[in-house]
Amino acid sequence: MLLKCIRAENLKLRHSCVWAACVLIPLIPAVMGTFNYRGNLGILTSEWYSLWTQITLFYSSLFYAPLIGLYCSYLWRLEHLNNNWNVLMTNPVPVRNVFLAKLAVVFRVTLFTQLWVGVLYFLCGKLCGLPGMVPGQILVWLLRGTLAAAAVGTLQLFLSMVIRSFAVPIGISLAGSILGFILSNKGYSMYWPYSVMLLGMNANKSKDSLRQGLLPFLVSLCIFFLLFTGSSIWYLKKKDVRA
Amino acid sequence: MKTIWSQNRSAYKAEQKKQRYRKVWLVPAGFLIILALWMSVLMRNFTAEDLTNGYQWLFYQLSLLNAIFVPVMLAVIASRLCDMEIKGSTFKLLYTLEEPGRFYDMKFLAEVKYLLFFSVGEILVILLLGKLFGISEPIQLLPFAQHFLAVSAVGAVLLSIQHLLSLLSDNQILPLCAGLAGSFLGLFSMFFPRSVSLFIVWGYFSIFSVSGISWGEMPDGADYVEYMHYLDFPVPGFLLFLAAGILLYLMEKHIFKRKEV
Repeated sequence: MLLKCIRAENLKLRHSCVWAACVLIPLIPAVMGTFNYRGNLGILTSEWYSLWTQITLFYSSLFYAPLIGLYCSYLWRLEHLNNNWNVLMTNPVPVRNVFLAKLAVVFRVTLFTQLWVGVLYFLCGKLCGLPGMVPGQILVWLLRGTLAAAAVGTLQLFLSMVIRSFAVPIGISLAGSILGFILSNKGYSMYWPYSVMLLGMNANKSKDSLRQGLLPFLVSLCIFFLLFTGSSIWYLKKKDVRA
Repeated sequence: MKTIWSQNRSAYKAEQKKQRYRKVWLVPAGFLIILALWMSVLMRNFTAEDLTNGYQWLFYQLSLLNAIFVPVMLAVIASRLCDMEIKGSTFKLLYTLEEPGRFYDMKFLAEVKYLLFFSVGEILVILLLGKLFGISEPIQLLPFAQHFLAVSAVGAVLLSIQHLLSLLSDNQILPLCAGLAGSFLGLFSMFFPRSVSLFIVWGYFSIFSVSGISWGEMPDGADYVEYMHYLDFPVPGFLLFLAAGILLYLMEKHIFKRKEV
């Protein structure tokens, strides 16, 4: 049943401009970060790691979460239009599958975005003349950033489901990212979903901020994931639709 | 027969009624709270010496943060207000009652209200932070007025772009992406040569910043707050920017009026 729901959600994304956003938005931090790196070679001496700090500086801190917010808003926008809520809720499928299918699709698009960021990072590194291949550790950071999207993705899906506006949840995600940036600098990364994402991506850091162990990161991620998924499914079960 | 003024007034009132209970003011208010929080965190470790240049520092930081926040905030506001016509496919019905040009202008004015709320709010945030942290620099009216004018004018030009994109796009992804991309460009335009950054409208928050730092005079390792000073406001440049903004608005309005509904 869940697979069928995922297939239906995938159909909704066919020929949509979400893919254009997914390809075009990461291009900007990649180009800008590379220029910044090239302009400061005197102080940025850790090669691949330094390039990573420049590319992720603004991408992870400010734009990764709004990008996920954009995907989530798009998926729910289709349901908010016309009388689609009625159609959605009268489908003979459990509501949890409706939500989880959307989550799976958001996760797939995010995974594609992260892969694209990885490819861009590699290409920019080569254009800058960096030797060898991308360090394996950075690939782990990319993967961790993708996992962290599960926390923000569920939260954003919840917000986009409850708020009928397309734009407001994206604005909230930017505000959340900024708060996340502040909390992350204060050492409270584990307690705010948008900061967990920064932690996962190891944004703007050339040394691994999770070198003491992955467990607190994974626990925090699981708690946020269960909390927002549970809240969303509860909301879908208990609240009447506003079509 | 209604005069143009009363027709405009009725159209504006209609826009006001559409916004009832939509709580759009929460968007600029939320961004103002985040700005205040951000600034408070940065100012916590200020020394008495830093506080002697406190307002200059705030103006400098805010012009940088505005480049990040304001494009997305305006994209959200414009999208929220324009989406109601697009979602409901009400253009056809609307144009039997109202001229497209007038609708475009009044909708824009309704959005500008929230921009002004933000600009005034930002000034109040500066004054509030000054009071809270005990900034010892005397308050000068001119930089405050210049900052308010700069944020409002640059914001209005950006809003006009978002306004057009939101009204033209059936799918609100495009205007939101434009807002996000604008934030990126605005931020990075500060690192570009002046001749390039002049062409990036999102970067004008820093071009019209009322305070700056003399990087050239600053020795390595020195505290940059000591090298902060008020800049001469580029009045001819600002007027030219306003004129270009008005021209851009008229072109955008022309594009919108030609849209098939």
